[in-house]
Amino acid sequence: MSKKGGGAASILKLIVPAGKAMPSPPVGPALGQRGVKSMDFCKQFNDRTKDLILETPTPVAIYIKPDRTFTFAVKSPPTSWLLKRAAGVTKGAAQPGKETVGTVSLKHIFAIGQIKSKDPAMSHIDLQNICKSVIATAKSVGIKVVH
Amino acid sequence: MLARFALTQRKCISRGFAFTAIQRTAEAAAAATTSSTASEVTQQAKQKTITSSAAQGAVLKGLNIYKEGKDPVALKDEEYPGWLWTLLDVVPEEVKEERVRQRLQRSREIKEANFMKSKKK
Repeated sequence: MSKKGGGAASILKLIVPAGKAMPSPPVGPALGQRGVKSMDFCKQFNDRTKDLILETPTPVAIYIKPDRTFTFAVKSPPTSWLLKRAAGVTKGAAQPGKETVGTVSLKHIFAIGQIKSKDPAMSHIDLQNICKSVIATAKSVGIKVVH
Repeated sequence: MLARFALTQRKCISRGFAFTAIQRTAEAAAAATTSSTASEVTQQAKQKTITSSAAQGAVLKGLNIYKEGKDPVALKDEEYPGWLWTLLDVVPEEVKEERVRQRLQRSREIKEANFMKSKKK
């Protein structure tokens, strides 16, 4: 998170529940500090995420210009969250690598890869390599991948 | 020559150094020679006998993030691209070591090139 003050543009990265941007804790102070009206952001954000299931954690990057106007880019939900849902667990392993909390099939990995490939940041990466990253994330969360 | 041409056509971020393409061909050649026909045969055998834990028609729960959507359904094993079943294969040690070696060499060469370009006295 860039925290340049004064006349520089800054980037603010947050994870906001889809359709439910408003609460003070995550969004309010972070935006308020940079002089942006959080209500404006929340309205636009909720509008852009209206197709998503409510409260899906959605990473968003907010680009704030020196004149306090902003644009933002919405990305796909965190890979670890998707993996935990696919495996049917709520929490990841306390000691990943040593304990396994769930299993997931390669077909799940493929479906998650497809969701991730829609991200603009991933547009130039092969689906195969995206799937490899997803498998690595599964390892870091303690979810075992089987055929 | 053909192999190198095919690789440069791949969508990869070019760092402007010709040797990255050369390194990739070297790695491909090394992998081809180290992976003997025996491992190729076992790989093909694996492909024939792979059955996914998620059978066709199984609902992949929890992977739908849209209000108007449904959880994706698993397709037949054959309908997935071939590389999917190779993702869990163990990479042989020689290939890993080769990659590490190339990475070190590449970073050394980049640092040298940067130093030569820099105007620091």
